[in-house]
Amino acid sequence: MSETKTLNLVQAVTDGLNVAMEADDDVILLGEDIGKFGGVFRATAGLHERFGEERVIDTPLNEAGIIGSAIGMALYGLRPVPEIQFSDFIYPGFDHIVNELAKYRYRSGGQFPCPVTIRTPVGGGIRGGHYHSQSPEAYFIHTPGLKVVCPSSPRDAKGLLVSSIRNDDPVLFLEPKPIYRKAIGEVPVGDFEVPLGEARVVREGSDVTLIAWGAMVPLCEEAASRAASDGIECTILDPRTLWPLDIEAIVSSVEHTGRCVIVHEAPKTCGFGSEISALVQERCFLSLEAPITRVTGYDVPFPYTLEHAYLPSVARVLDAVETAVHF
Amino acid sequence: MSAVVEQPERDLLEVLVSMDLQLASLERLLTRLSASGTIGSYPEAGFARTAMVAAALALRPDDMLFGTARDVPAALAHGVPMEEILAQALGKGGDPGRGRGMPGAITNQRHGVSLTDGNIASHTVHASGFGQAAQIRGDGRVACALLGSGALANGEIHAAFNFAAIADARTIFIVRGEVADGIELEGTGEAWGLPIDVVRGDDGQAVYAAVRAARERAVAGEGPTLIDARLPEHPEPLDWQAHQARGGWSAEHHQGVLREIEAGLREARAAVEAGEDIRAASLFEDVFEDRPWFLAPNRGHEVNS
Repeated sequence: MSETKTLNLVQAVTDGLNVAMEADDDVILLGEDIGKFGGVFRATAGLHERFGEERVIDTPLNEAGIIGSAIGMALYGLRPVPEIQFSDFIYPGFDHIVNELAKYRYRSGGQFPCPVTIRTPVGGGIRGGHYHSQSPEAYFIHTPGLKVVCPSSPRDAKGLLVSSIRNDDPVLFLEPKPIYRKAIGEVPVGDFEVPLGEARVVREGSDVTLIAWGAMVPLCEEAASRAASDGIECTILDPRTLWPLDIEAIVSSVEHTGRCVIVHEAPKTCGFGSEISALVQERCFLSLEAPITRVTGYDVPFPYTLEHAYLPSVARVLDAVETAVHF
Repeated sequence: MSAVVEQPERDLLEVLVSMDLQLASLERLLTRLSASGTIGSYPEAGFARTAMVAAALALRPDDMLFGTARDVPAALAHGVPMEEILAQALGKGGDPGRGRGMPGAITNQRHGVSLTDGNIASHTVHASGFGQAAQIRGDGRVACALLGSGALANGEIHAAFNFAAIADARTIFIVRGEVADGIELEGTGEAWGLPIDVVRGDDGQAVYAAVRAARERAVAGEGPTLIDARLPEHPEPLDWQAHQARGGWSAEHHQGVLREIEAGLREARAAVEAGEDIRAASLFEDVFEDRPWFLAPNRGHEVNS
């Protein structure tokens, strides 16, 4: 077994950036306060000193400029990794992501791939209010040409980030900031990749399949532990790569359990849970013992004071699990 | 048939006149096809052709040219073969972009050209990033972004000029076409930290000289330049007769050039139209490097051929 070290999730991100930059001079970082300051969440701490200002670039506070510049750098032949300080601020760069980054390969007939990995923290529960808490994955999954990744453990954060950067497609790398420091685990030392497009079985059980990503994974783990004490065994599947989704892993699990509960922070309507639900229905209809259920944020703007009322809770997940089992 | 002359320094005016005649012929054809519904909308360059061509001729072949679908003349001058321009406009198999863009939205990696029919100014930010990368690598390449007057009102412009200026990006921004909305550029450069060079957009030699100087500045690491090459109120067409007066070519030679251009265009069009169509199955290709399961054949994505 390879050597490991104990890291939290944000330290694992830093480690992944270090590894990718060390191995490939074309990998450069750009973003607001990511250089000398080391990033608002310290994800790039120490990289400016190590790799210099030409590879760890402090930019003006302009998200369209950051993402647009990254596209130009990728067209030149670099492998830029822009950071958007909070995903809530990604929208000024939305046109560049949806209309340019996602389409460059396609509209050029494959001549101009755009290997840009956009790192951005997502998720609520940190007293961040409307503009520091959102989970925008569905917008990007809905856009052909983008890959969307969201790790839930330090090991996956490092391995998936290195894979994303080395991938020739654009990647939205969504970092669950509520567990940046809560998620702690063993991470392989040195060069290490986790392949994109492969789900992780977090826990195995025969009664219900829970599908969750990011900060919802530890929440589901707690719910699954409590359900087990009542004799209900849950499988927890973390897709890790939200798109392209590991559909086979989901189908295999739901065919076995016959029940599927999807948990995410983003609002319910047209959230990614809707798509997963449709896919499961299309492929597992005859195996289903109960309706597919979604436990999600509500269809309201993300609130400040009532954020814990908004976010899925262990109790809401347990309720969905019990309803599915007793249907 | 490719760009008319390989060495523009030899006689720039002659090159400009020749290319203008060739492009006028091309634009007449594409406008006619567009009006008849044979192809999608084609945005003519008109008098802005002169600045577009002169700018592209002043670049090195491995420089990257960014622009809009209106900048087809610059693409031709930067080396994109006429056959590929026609294949793109006609949506035929010879288009390296595989028929994905509207007429004029040329992408050509081999010749370093990316013209868009998207947001009017997004490409200027890409040019800034490309130029920033070129400054980091220092390999002698530059990025050139052509934009219209209308783009100056777009927020992307602020991002492009701001990022390029602070990064000493090897980027040349060229505003071409008519002056729109009364937007003047003189005096604004200081705010962005960009030197501005103002030249008449109908004076190809002046545009060529300005781009050459901007290119030298960029490669020397002195940063980006904004060239205001918009047209005066009453632009003067590129006049072969002026060229003749300078001892250029005769009226007889002029007629011969015209005949050659028309014949060449007919020949190129015929070759393109006789070529392969875009394959229906290619609809699902190039979305990603590899085709994921949801784009795989037999996933409900079959199309009529």
